[in-house]
Amino acid sequence: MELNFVKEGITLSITVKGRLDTITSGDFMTAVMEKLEEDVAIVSIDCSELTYISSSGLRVFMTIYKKTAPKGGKLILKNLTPQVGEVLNITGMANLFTIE
Amino acid sequence: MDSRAKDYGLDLHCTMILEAYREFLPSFRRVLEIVLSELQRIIDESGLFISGIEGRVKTEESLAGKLELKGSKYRTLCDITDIVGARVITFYGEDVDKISSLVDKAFDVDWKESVDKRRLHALDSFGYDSLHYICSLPERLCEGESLPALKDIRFEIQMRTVLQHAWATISHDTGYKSGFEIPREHLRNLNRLAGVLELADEQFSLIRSSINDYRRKVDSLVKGGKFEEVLLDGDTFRSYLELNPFEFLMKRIAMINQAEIQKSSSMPYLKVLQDLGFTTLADVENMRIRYTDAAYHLAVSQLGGTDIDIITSSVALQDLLTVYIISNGGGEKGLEKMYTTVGGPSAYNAVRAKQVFAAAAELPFMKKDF
Repeated sequence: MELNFVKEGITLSITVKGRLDTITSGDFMTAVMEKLEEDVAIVSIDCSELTYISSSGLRVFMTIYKKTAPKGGKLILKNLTPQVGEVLNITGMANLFTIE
Repeated sequence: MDSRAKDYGLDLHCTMILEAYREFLPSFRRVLEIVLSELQRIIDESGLFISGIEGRVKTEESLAGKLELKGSKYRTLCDITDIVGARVITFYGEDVDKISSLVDKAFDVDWKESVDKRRLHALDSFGYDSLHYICSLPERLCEGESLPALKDIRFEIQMRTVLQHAWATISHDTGYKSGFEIPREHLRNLNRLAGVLELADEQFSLIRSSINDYRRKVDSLVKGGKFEEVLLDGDTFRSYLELNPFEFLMKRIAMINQAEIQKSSSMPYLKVLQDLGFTTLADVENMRIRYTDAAYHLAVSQLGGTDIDIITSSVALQDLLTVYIISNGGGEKGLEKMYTTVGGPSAYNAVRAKQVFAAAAELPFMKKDF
């Protein structure tokens, strides 16, 4: 898994490449939490090269959502692959996050 | 007199009062802090929803102006009761009375000096004023304080609605209280405005009371299961959701993979239900009863082949509506519309609708005789 972070104002943009599974989600969570400072309200994740997401990856998404939503912010998921999109749909999470 | 102090040209008596004011200014400021903090505490504890609390210590210039106009009225500084002033602004008229009751318990109220200006106006007078209490701090709020005379400082607490506040602020701006005559036509217009605002305050209170009555009635009907008598709207749907009508389906879906359930609101689906033509809670309930098995089959087909063990609680209603829309000929467009209504517009909604519709095509509920 490869991660890239760019912070502009209140927005933290993340690019994820590879798989978000039981093995990689821990590192993903740690890296995101380090960058998720007080003033970050919007987290935008480019998922175009996210090839697989497991329940562990979904839990990280939920954690980010729960951190940003109370601040009036949001979690934006961009360029979903069909596999990731389907997982978000069948869990009901597609309606929680902003999908672009 | 302090040589650095500004000279306002007051007589000796008023100058001495002004000097006393300068000496006790730190105490006035401390009293204001205590009053505002105590007001905030009692209002927070009461759960009353108000517009705001504000306060100020009268400035030296303002006090000098007051002394210039009516200094002989005051024997000492203690006779001036509005040097420290706080104001509680409510949304509803009846809340002014509730706040006054809280103030009565929290502070020592000087009833001889306190006035209910709301009730002072004669039939032919004008104004839309507030309730003014003159208070002092009770012993318990002065404990541990080092500044002198806190207990002896009287202060004013005004309690008014936002409309009373608007009227008072605007009419004060016109200068009608400044002692200058204002033309009769302006006086008449202010008078008319006061009447309108008083009527508006009454209407706001009536509307709130009616809405509360309606909510109580709906709550009772919903809890009594009389869904056919309850129109579908935000209040009624919320009451309905409190009965956890989709819990059974949600738990069945969770059991497919022994999934953890993350709470999420089903309220965003209200608009979808309304767009589909549901008018009463009975319509929602009938859909729930009729399509629960089909929604479960859909969830099994989606989750069964995966190891996904986390879902959101709103997935039950999402799946119910998915099978309802497909079964009633809504097709991909119907699904796309639902996704747009719930999650907002996105190019992904069409892709998602196509995916879900294709996957559902082979399920039993798609067959006519299901």
